[in-house]
Amino acid sequence: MKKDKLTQLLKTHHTDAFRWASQCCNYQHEDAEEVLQTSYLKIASGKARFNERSTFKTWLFAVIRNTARDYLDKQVRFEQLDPLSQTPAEAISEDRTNYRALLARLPERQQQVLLLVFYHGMTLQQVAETTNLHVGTVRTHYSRGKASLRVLIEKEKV
Amino acid sequence: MNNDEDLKAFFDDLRLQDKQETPPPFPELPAHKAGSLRRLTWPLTAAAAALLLLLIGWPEPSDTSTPTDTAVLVITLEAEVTTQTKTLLDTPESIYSWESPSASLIADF
Repeated sequence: MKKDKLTQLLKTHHTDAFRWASQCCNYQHEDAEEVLQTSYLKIASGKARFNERSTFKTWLFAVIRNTARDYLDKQVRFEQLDPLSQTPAEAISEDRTNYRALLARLPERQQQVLLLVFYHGMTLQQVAETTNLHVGTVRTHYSRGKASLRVLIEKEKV
Repeated sequence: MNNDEDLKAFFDDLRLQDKQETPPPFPELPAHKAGSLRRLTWPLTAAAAALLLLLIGWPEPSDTSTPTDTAVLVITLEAEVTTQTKTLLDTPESIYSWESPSASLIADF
């Protein structure tokens, strides 16, 4: 793919890509920027290549997810971050529902599957391609995630 | 089943919340250096392989020069018509000149 076309596609999906990077980094803004920058560099240098087997967005999200995973693994290994400090509770006023914190209570896989389906509008097949999981596994995470989130939402209302 | 309307509403609200956070500007992408290097890899490999073949496997030049003096040798075979066989021994063996292999063991004191 030519650089101009690639750049154009990346620009088109930039906002969605940033949101996804942010979600993969537990809404840590600086980490998300770092992950996105690294992902773009991977693509520009040819380390990550779009082979047109899936949609561009699905492929881009997979690159970002893998980059975020590597980045967070290194962070945990070298800095031993306190998991409590990663709770995405900042900048949200107390009188509003903290959707991010609510979602963060779900297991990571369930969070990602629900975000990709409901937030980013992907099909289960596209989610499977992005997360590198079997579509049956994705379906399981999807069903369990929905049930768990409903329980959390009900608890929040009470 | 409510067709997940409650969850859709949840994620719509989450999306609105996220919009308060502005994404960073799109960065300038660096030149596609690795790609251009990859494009050069095949020609470089082919050139190296050709050079190696030249150095190791080049065949010795064969002598293709044509002789200046051409001599024609004609061999003629003539069949000899005879009914008798010939012995291959030119000189006949004499029985008197025969010596046993163990003759040297006999000491003549």
